[in-house]
Amino acid sequence: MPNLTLDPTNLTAQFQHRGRGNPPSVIPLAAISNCFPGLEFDFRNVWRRVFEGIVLHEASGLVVDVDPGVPAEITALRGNQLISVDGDPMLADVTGPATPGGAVQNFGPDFLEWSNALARILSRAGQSVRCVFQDAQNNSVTSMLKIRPFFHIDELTGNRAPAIHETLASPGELTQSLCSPWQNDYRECACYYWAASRPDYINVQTAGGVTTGHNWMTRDRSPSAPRTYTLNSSLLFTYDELFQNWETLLKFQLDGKDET
Amino acid sequence: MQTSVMNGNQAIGGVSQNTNNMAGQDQGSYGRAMEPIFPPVGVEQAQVVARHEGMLNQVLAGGPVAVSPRVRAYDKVGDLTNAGRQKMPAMMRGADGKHLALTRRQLSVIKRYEESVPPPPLPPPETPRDTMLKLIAHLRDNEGAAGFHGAVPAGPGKTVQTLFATPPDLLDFLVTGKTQLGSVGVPAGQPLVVKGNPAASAFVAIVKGTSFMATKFQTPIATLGNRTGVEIVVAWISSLT
Repeated sequence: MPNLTLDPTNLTAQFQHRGRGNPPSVIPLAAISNCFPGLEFDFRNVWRRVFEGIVLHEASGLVVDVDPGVPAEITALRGNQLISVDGDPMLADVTGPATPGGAVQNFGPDFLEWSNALARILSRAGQSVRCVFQDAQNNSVTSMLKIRPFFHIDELTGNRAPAIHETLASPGELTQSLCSPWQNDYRECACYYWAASRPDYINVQTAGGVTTGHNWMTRDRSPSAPRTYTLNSSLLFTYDELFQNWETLLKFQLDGKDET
Repeated sequence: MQTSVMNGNQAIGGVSQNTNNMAGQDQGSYGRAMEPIFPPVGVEQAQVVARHEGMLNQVLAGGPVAVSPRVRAYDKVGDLTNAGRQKMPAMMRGADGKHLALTRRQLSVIKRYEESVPPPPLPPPETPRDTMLKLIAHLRDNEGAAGFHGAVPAGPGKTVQTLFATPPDLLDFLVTGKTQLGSVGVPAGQPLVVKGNPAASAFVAIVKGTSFMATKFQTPIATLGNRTGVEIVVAWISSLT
């Protein structure tokens, strides 16, 4: 009897597909914005061309370029900062105390993460939305810009397909701002940066409600070594060691412990 | 994840200044005060894992949860007050360089679940008697009240001190007992409690007095809704029929 399978064809069903052996976190629904600066690709780049006519900086919303042949009104947006889209703010004030227990103060605006900030308008591909920018003199500039489609359109069926539309990112753009996590950034930027994609606290044992274990980057993680988590640089793999031999030094973790 | 390090606790693993975390980034990027995100004593990894496993097990069992108020909204990532930094997911960095936020869709899924599970039935309202029992336990455990009553007889072989061990018995004693010689500022032989009539109850006069223990009845008690012992006693006597 042939091995019959059902192949989902609609977009939602295809996004729910999880390859055998992969964890739940691989499906897009489970993705969080913890992708900067990216392990396989830098997803922020997909938003740079979300509006027809302009190119945004992936990390700030600054208009860094405009498409050839656009009207002068669009050309004039170069160097402006995107402030809001269809009434949704793209910036948020950063507030907090400057001294422990001190009064809350405003440290100024900063950019919001794209995927969340643009979520409401993405379904309106092909429509124009009101975009507000701020120019170098802090004047507001308003322009109606058309939203590009996010998904590739299947040429045979005319349906949306689970791939990023080619107008959003040119070849190479999704990886152009990658760092070198295995050789460099995993050591440089600690776990708060890569919490979803790298081991950190390993070989952990719990006694009396207190844990002991190793930093994944600690050079000596032998059974006789003290099971102490440390960020003491002299006890961690050096950058040279990682650049030359990262694939053998950074062990896979099996049930939270170094592979043997 | 080594949650103590991520929280900004100091002096871990021989490193005196631990700033490689969101607490350090808040300071470096914005000038926010460098301080741990959560109180340092509560972030040991074993405790954090246990708390989250407990919540997950509650969901897996189909139980009600109230997670969404603790989740960081995507447009509140700039809230670097301690309360803002303690929103979930905590101690991690998002693609905008600020504290991590779930996607709006993920937060909607959580809210949908919360709305789909009926909240647990409210506990029956606390009666004045319940509050009195808590007041007795509070005075016994936090104010050393039992020790002041070792010389006050409460029946054969008993003193009021011994009744503090069983608060319902102490309440029964108050309802039937009378003032004795030495009752502070009140003549002997008066009923301690006149049901439904606090003004006529000698016990109310005692706790409104100036003795050392009376002052304990006149101070708001945080664990009892900031009510005073006098208020609780008056409400209890008023409820008696």
